[in-house]
Amino acid sequence: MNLNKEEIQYYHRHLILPQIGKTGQQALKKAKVLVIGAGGLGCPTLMYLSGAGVGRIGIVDPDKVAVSNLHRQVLYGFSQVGKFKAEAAVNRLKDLNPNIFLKAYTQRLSPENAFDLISQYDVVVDATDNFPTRYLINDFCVYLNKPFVSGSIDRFQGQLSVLNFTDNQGNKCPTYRCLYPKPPAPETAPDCAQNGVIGVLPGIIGNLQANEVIKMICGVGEVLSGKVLMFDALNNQMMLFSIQRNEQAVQQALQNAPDFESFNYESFCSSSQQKINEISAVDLHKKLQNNEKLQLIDVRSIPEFQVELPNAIRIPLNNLQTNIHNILKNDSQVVFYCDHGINSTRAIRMLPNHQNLKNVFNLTGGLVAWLKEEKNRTMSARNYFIQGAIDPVFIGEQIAKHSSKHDIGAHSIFLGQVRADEKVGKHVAGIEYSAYEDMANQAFSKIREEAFEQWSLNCLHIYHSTGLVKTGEVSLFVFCSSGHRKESIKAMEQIVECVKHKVPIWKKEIMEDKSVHWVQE
Amino acid sequence: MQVNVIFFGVLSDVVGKNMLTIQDTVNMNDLKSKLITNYPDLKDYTYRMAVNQQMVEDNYLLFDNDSVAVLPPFAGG
Repeated sequence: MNLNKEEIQYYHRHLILPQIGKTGQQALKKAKVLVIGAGGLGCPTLMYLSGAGVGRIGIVDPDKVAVSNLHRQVLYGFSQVGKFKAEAAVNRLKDLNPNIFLKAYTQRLSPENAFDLISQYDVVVDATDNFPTRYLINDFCVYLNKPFVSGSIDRFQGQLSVLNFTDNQGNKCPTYRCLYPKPPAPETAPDCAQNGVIGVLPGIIGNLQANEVIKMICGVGEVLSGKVLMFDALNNQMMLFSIQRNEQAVQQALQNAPDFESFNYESFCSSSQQKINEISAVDLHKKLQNNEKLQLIDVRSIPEFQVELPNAIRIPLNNLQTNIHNILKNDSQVVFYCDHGINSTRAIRMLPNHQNLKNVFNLTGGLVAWLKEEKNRTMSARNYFIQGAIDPVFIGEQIAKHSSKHDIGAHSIFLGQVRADEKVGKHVAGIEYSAYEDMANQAFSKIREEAFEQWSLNCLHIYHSTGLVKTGEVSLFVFCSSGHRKESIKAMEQIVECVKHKVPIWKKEIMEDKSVHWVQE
Repeated sequence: MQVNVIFFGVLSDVVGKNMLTIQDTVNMNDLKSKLITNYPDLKDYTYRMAVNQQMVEDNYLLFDNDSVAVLPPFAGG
């Protein structure tokens, strides 16, 4: 792992440190680090690990950049809102250090993929925002014998520890389960979206995580293993607490190995208290449509999403105790909601003990889920069909409409045309298309949604003919736009294949002599 | 004898302050039940307790002026 001329210049300030020098820098170049979570903690960790020259960095995050991320997630700006964090991070970091190899994983870390992902790396950084993933990372790191740097934050305080580390005497050090053998009930452990967080805090803790990774790789200083650091940004207090390895807790991590796929981390971290009724956004919408008697209660104090559900009463969580008696007197159904569905769960838990929870519901996933469902509804209401052939003038107009969208760098356009095939001595004069349109529209919407998930697209329009289309006329028009050509070309190929294979449309060829031939695909 | 107890994260909300002094407590078990008597909501929470910066188990003996920290796990990232 020799360093080239550019690298020697780039890493000059490291190379002149006797503790790092050429050996340390080469060790960094050889190292492979997987950063799980590219949010508040992940952003600073990634910036400094990239700058430090870690040779291979994997970034796992299924989320897309949101406006409420920007105050602390320093890798992103407004132009990345809506893009996958892992991909936006790779693009930014490539510019920061072109000497390293970066890989984006836009899927959620799960028991199904954790083995493959983690086994490819030497060190893992836990920069996630939820307990199921924290326990999942712990268990796979224990199983695969990888050290991991755990960081977590809450409002003004942060925790940091290097876990499952093997010291230079070969001793195994504590794991996350040694620190916290049992996950907290979800409503007792709110995350940043519910509780808030001061923007600089993940900056501080994330940098400390990067520092521990670098120390571990270079073998310098004292690794924060067997200890947990608590930092308080309000009084600058840093306290270290020593922890012991607990073999029983370690065995808990391994008890499902190697059959981790059957272990449900979500339910392991879910509540054991009295069951709360959940209502999905789909079901709530149905109830509202049917004019069922429902009382909606919005418990947000400062809403993240400017959405009001019909006839909702707003009672912020802190005022709930004093106001709740007026609401629950009658026996109509009550639905509590907030932005993410956690504070509303806490609200229901705060109801007096004698309260019968039979008619009380929590909107699962909160307004995030509601908005997603709303989007799905508008998508399935969308009509992708055009009666008869698609007019080239219409195609031209669609292209013209996009000239005002300045973030587009490439359009891919696919036109399917009716071909004059020859069958048993007769030519095809046209094709008559028929479809069960509701079902087909849903299939089109699903293709569209999946394409937006998978590719970085700005626009995607699909039009298909129904009824008779003559030879030489256009019956399928797909139009996708992206910032760059490669993305739009690759996406187009896949979208057209999906349309051909997944949308139930039947074709009847009409021959020159008016005889017909059903096309089997 | 007395011990000082410091609360972190969400637990300082449950207790309503960051720090408390508890009188006449002999070991961690006893301290825990005293805390839960005063703050019943604590029983729903997950946390570890450290005495003089060392995580300890429930039977650990307490001495005058010991400093106890109560640490919940944090979710956020």
